[in-house]
Amino acid sequence: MPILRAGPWGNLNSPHEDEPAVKDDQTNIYPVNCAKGDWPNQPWRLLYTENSDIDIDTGTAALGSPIVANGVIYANVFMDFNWQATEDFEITLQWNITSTQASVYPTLEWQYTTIEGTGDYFFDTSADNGTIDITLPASTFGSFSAYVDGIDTYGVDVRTEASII
Amino acid sequence: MALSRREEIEWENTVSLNRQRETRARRSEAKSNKDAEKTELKYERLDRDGVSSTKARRAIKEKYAKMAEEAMNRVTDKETPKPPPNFYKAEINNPLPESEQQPATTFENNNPEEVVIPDEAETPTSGGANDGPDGSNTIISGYEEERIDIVDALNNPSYRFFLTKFD
Repeated sequence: MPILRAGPWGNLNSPHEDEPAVKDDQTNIYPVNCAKGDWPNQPWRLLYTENSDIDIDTGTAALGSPIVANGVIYANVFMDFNWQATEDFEITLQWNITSTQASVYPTLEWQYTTIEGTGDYFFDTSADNGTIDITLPASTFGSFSAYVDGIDTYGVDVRTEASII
Repeated sequence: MALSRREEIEWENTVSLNRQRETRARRSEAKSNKDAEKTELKYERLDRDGVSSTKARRAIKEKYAKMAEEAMNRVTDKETPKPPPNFYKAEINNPLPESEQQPATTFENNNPEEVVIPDEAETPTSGGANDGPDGSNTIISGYEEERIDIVDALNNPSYRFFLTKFD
């Protein structure tokens, strides 16, 4: 059964918000996507934060677009988006953490919650790189967030790259 | 002075033809207005990157509703032509001989070049919730049509037209 569109931005408490002029996680609202597809007037996107001990940057990114944070001691990437879907669908979280010293300590976390009350959570001290498939359920409004963190063991440099495919 | 039967038939046919021409012109004008309204609504939506403004759409619909009302008033204000004196009396008193009676058909049926294309046969202008299953326009008074985005049953972005009403 079809469901009415929410958004264009929002969160679980307020699914119908206008797109903010400043796009950062301080607003606590995120893009609302149609499963993995584009709306006619709004392409699929997520809100990202590239955060490290030397820099912080926020913005929106498309499906498959790599998000990269560079740091000296640590570099992490946050990705947030909302979705609406009439059927379950799959996304893939991809990550790659590197350092010139070839010694990093990775952390991976993702979670989702739907307005219907379902949810899931995953945390792992994973490999330096890899992919993980995540099934997001059919929902009139769901909220997803992922976090990839890399720490350089020697504190020289670290680069964390992640994307949703 | 009573008209001859042939003159009566010719007069009756002339009146009928005039009425048909008026009706045809009225239909043509109404269709032209409806097409213009749909075009204006379409461009209003495109101008706004696919997002409709309810206020702007209502203004457009009101403008064309007013035009339609004015066109209707022009027609009803016209005097209906009166038959010549003794027309009905002559018809009663001097019925046509059976051999001269015409079959019960309309003027168009006897003149193939004058066939009026029914509205249903016109090029359909696809679109809205007001369009019935047979393509006819079935506007519900007091409601207006709004396009609303949806996620369809296969997870694809799509849209539906809804009839909405303001209290």
